[in-house]
Amino acid sequence: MKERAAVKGGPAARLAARQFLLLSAYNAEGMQNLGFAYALLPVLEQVHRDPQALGRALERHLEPINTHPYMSAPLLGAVASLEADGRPEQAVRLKELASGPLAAMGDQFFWVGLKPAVALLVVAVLLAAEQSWAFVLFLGLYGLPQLVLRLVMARRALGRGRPVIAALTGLDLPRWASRVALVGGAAAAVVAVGAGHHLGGVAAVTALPAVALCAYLLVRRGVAPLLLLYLAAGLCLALAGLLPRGG
Amino acid sequence: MDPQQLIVFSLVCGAAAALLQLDRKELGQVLFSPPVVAAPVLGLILGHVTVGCWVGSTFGLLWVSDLGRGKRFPANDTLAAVVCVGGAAAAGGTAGVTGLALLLAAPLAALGRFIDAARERRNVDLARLASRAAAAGDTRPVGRAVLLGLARAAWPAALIGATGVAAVAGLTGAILPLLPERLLHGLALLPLILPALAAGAALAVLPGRQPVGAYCIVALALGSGLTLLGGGG
Repeated sequence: MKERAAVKGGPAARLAARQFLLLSAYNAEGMQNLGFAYALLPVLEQVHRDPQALGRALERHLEPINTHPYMSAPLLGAVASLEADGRPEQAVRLKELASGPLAAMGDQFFWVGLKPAVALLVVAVLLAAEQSWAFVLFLGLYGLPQLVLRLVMARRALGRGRPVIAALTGLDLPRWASRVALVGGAAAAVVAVGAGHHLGGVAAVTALPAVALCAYLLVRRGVAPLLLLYLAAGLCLALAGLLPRGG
Repeated sequence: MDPQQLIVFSLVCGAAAALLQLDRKELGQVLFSPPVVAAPVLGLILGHVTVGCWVGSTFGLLWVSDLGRGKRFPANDTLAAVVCVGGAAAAGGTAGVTGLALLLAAPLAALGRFIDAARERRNVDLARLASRAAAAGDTRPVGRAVLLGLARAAWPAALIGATGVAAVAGLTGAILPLLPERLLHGLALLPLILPALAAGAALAVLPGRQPVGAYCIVALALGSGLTLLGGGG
């Protein structure tokens, strides 16, 4: 069955804007259900004029849902498109089927790949170039792209429906996450060596990358970052207390 | 420590903590709230940009690997960063002050996680109310739930942000004069050393083993180059 672009104008714009409230009332039972239903509401109001029918439609979308917030845009758009086409069962089915895979894709690319890599890059620039404006890099490389992507994806999914989700899976985001992670690895080295350079001396330039590598191994083994922070601080303070004055 | 300045810093940080909490999760999700952005910007506002950069470099990387999947919430590194920058700036903003503030503010990340989890349980009442109302044909409670959700997220962050800054600044001012000179020197080194440790923690989240390979190659090349060029600074 051919899908049509029935959702346009005010309701489409409100859906695109309200996607940013997906996690506003995150709860233990329905997870993102309130945010998802609130984003869909302008479209549902346009489709269902009868209050009882609107209530039933809203109830359908108050069922539990959990996906990656950046990946909610194509899902919201496609679900709204199906509702507008008068295919509510398919809309519910799509939510059930697509929210999990979209969450996994978003986690893998944005939170495991891009975010740590860009954060490392920012700190690397901060330490290596001593530029306090380096935080702008984070906005440019992570903040704004995800913002634009979400707005564009919502618009396209409203127009084209489910094919946008299929196109997203074809992007092979995990492969891109691996590539981005390489940049993150290199940036981590710049941070560690840069920190040693700031401390001064060959010993620091050699020791701090080793400290970072130890931290990597400990975190991989499940040691909490907070514990790591206090262990390192305790060690540093103990060494400072033991070393001769000026050492 | 100037009491008037402390009050101003506490109020600014309280407001910043509330806004950044919304950006962190409830409204928008991650544009200004990661500590690598929030800490330098807050430092700039408070006139201590170096403190912001030190705090952002450590707290911005330390908890990046803490993703919070399933029922587990991520540590609230934004709250810890805001309180740390505000507290350190109010107490003078030296390296030693920042070192101590990092240690004092870090547990707030865990406290923030606890509050986030408690709010998730409390918000269940909003979801149930909205479902009951929708069944009766009333759609208004969904919008009200969203607004209440935002308020429930913002006010604890504002409260902890404002009082946390006063507490960290007060404790820092009380503890530092009691410490021997060598420990003060050690504390002053922390803002320079901890970013390296945090970078290692951040490396742990990157997928695959290639990033570690890239890390080793670049660290060896840079370390050797700096050593050959003149003793690493």
